[in-house]
Amino acid sequence: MIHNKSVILQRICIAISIPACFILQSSVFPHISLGGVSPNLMLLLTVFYAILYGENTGITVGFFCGLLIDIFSGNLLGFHALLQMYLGYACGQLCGLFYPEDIRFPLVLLTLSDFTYGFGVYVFSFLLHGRTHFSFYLRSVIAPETFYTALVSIVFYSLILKVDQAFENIRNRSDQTIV
Amino acid sequence: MSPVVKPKREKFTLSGKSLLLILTIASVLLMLVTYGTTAFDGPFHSAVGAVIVPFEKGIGRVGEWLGNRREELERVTSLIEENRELREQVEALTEENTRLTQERYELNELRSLQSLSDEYEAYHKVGARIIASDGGNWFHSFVIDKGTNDGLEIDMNVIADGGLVGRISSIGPNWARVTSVISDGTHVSGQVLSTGDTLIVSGSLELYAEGLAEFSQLTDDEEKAQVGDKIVTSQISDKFLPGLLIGYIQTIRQDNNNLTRSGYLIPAVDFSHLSVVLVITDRKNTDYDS
Repeated sequence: MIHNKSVILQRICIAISIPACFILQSSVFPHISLGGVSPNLMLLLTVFYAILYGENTGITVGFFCGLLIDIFSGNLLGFHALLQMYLGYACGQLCGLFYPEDIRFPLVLLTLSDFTYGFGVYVFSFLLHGRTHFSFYLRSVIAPETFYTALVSIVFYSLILKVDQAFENIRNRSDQTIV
Repeated sequence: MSPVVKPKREKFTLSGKSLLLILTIASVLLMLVTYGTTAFDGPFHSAVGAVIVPFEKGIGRVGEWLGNRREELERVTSLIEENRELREQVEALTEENTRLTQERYELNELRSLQSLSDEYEAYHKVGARIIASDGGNWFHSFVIDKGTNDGLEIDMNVIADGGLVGRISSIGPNWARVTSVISDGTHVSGQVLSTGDTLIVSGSLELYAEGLAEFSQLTDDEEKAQVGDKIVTSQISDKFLPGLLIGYIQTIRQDNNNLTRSGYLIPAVDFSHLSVVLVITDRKNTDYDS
């Protein structure tokens, strides 16, 4: 019973963290932006949840994170949702391949994902409009965003890991009492 | 580490691939529907208006406070120098102001003679605070703290610092998203104030990094338009009210077709330091009806 409850509770925690991080990303980070860009917390959540909990979580979190971005900034509802969902799926394939305590692997994966994401947005929203000057977009948006996201991800990853371990402890304890 | 989804997986056998397929179809449908209609805007906008925006209003202040602290640290050293320069500027401006007051007096006289009404002052305006950016780094749009509950509607024009900021592109009960004129992919019909020749102003992320926007298709056979001329919104724009200042011409060049001219302009509004904007509640098409 406790086991099931803690699983549901953990899902609720994941669900709440999405709007919470969106609010942070849109209201707080623009004021402390580095080089005019703010970190991409939505992608950060998608990637980290995907590599901790697998492809299903990655897909779902990516979809809703992208949808929030779409509602507030996109012209087409569903574009960012699609992009982030596939990144979540891809990262989910690597779930269980590493020790969660080691931050290097998630960090490298997040950097790669953020770059892919930026490149995707550039190709579909800018290149198709005839904006061919890729090096500018790389220099002024994609690279700073990737760097800043990687920087704040160190804090966010340890936070996500702490929450995860707290739930893990609850589950372990409940298992022992049953036995 | 046992993944959270594992225990459930035995009951629901929804594999990752099928979930991916279902949500892909959902997103593609969403894109198709929003491309053609605005059917989904209502429910989505009300939902985020109820969940996200109230928090943004509160937390936006925290962010503003953090931003101010950072700015203080950055600028203390430069402030002393700036202060000295500003004092000199105040002297110069005071002198200019007295001269301008005299000219304004003269202008008012002439205006009343021609019975022209000052159009800017005739518009009804509502002030609004910017509470959040759009959450991405690619487009220059932002969220303000007023929506349909305050009488705002889609396509209403937004101004600040006496210049055009943009228009409301989507709206909820207590928020509205303003897409700025310098946002990539935005085009505004404008005219050179002094000559009345029409042109198209287009936003570009690349040019905005240099503090500029682009204009094109200026039909100006006699080459009367000069660098420094004001560009305002034109009469033929269907979304923007006429006579709102967009910016000043920075460079002009002849197009290859030898018929039109294009170039760059400096926007009148400092988009990176906006915190309060004015929404003009008169709309262009409602003006038509009355």
